[in-house]
Amino acid sequence: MTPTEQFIQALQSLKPGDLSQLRGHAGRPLDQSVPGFDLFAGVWWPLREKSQRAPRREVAWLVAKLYAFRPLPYAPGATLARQLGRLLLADDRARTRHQQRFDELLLLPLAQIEFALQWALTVIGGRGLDWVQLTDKLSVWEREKTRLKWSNEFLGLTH
Amino acid sequence: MQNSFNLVVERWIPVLRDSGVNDRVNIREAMTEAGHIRQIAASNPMDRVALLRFLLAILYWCRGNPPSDNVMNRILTAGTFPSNWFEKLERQKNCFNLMGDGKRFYQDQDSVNRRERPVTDLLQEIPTGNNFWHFRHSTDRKNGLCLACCALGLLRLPLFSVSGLPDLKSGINGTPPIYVMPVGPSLLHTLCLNWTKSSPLGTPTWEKPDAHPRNDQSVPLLLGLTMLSRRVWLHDSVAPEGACIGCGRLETELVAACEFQSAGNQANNFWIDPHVVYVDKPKAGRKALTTPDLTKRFFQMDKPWAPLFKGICESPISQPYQTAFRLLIVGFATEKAKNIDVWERTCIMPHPGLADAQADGSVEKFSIWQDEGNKLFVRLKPKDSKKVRELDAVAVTAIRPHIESRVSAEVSDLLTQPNSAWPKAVDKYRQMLPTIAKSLAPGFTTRAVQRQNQISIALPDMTRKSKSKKGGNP
Repeated sequence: MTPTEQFIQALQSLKPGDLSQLRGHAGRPLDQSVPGFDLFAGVWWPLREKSQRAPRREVAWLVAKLYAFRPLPYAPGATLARQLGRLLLADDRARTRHQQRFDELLLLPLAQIEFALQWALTVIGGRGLDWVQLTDKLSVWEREKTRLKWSNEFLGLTH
Repeated sequence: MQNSFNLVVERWIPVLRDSGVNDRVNIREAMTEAGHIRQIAASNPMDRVALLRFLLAILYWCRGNPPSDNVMNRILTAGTFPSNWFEKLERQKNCFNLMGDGKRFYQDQDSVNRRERPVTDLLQEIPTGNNFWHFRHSTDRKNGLCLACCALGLLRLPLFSVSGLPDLKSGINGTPPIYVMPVGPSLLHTLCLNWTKSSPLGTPTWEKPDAHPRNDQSVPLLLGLTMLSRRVWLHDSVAPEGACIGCGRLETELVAACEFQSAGNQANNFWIDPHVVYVDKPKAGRKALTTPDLTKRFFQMDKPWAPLFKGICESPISQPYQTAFRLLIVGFATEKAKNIDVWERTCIMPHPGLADAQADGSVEKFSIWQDEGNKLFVRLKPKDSKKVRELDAVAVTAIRPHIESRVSAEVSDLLTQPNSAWPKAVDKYRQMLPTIAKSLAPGFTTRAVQRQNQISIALPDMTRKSKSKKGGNP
């Protein structure tokens, strides 16, 4: 099991109360509250201590908050971009607007992407999500190749 | 007393011998040693084609129409024309005096004291007056031309004269067309390849300077090949010894000025030039193919190779040959009186694949390729855009000349193996369009990716039928 998979598994093991606490930290940095920091450190630090390949702190904190916001079931292969691209929408205007919002998400830097990802998770609804892929891709978000791959997945141009 | 500089005797024609040596020969040597001369060695393509046509005219003048195929084969096998074939040159040597009193080659004594000009008017690449586009500096009436360069300049007159002020008119072909000449491995082969039956032959203007074609009859070959668009009279050399501004050779005699005036309107619709490709235009009728003016605002291909080769395949230029042959193609771009560009290229034309290509419609592919290339910037237009954007047109100009140059180098394969060669031609766009796509639609958003994909697949469709009518020579 990769360190990222272990991290996601750790998130899935959190109790409802812990998830609620993490939800309360939406949009807030890690060092803003001690309980939040302690909760996160308890999940993330043991993995980081064991392996440098564990997601870096900034990305892990972001994914933890997103998971708490919408704890969608883990579905390997169901990447966020692909799930968004497969949405059936009513008309051309809705589809265009949906595509525009996705493009706006792609243009955001990691530090500002949380609320856009919250929108994406809301739109996906109850369908599963590959949280491991999401975490790994957010870890290399600054690479243009990553975002280009998301575009291709959204458009259905990759398998 | 000015040396007469007789062109039959003086060595003025630059040649490359088959031994690899650069040399100069006179007219007699050019003809009798043609089998040992690899090619004309002039640096300017205009001189190459002008000299070849001049020597061809000499051949027609001395021998008339070509002999039987058996005799021709013997000549080619022997590698030389028979030594007694050019006695007419000796008998009428006086037609080829460049200077001196009396009759002069390609000059008109009646033009004296009419319009004096710097002698550099004879060579388009040497600037005169207030020309600003030039490759070297020249001072009018101070820098001069050697007599050999004067002769070369005179030979250009029937081919490359343009219309301009005050009343200068273009030559018998009108706006200088693209000239196409089959060439062989030696000057002998080249002359034999071009020596085809023609009638009437007529008389060249070096023998009969006041000859003029009628406006209601076909123009005799020798008259058409040598029709002068300017009345010229070289002044005696007065410049001090120095370097010729044309070729750079140090000479004791340099000509600095000449009389240079119009010979009237020479354009003649009854003249069918054996080295010009004619196409039928819907409203204008038969027109010689010319090189586009690249100074125009919109994009033009500098070498219109697709319509050119289509025209060549459908014209008599390609018909008489039993084996594959090379073509020398020289284009001269002008815009009224302005000389814009001159270019040259050679290509191999297949045979008998040429006949098969005409029969199976492969020749029409050139029209399709041309149409599809012209529409490339339309295909690049964004789907939601009504007008073609300047940015898309610029992208086309960035790649199309390169691709056309590469594809046109494979014309032999395009004619003989169209099923494999044309897809390879399309592939050249396939390789470059993704780069254009990233330039026109940079980024990684889904809109950018969709636009990039649209551009990447905007390839020429070579499977469609041609819309153009079959044209060619009448």
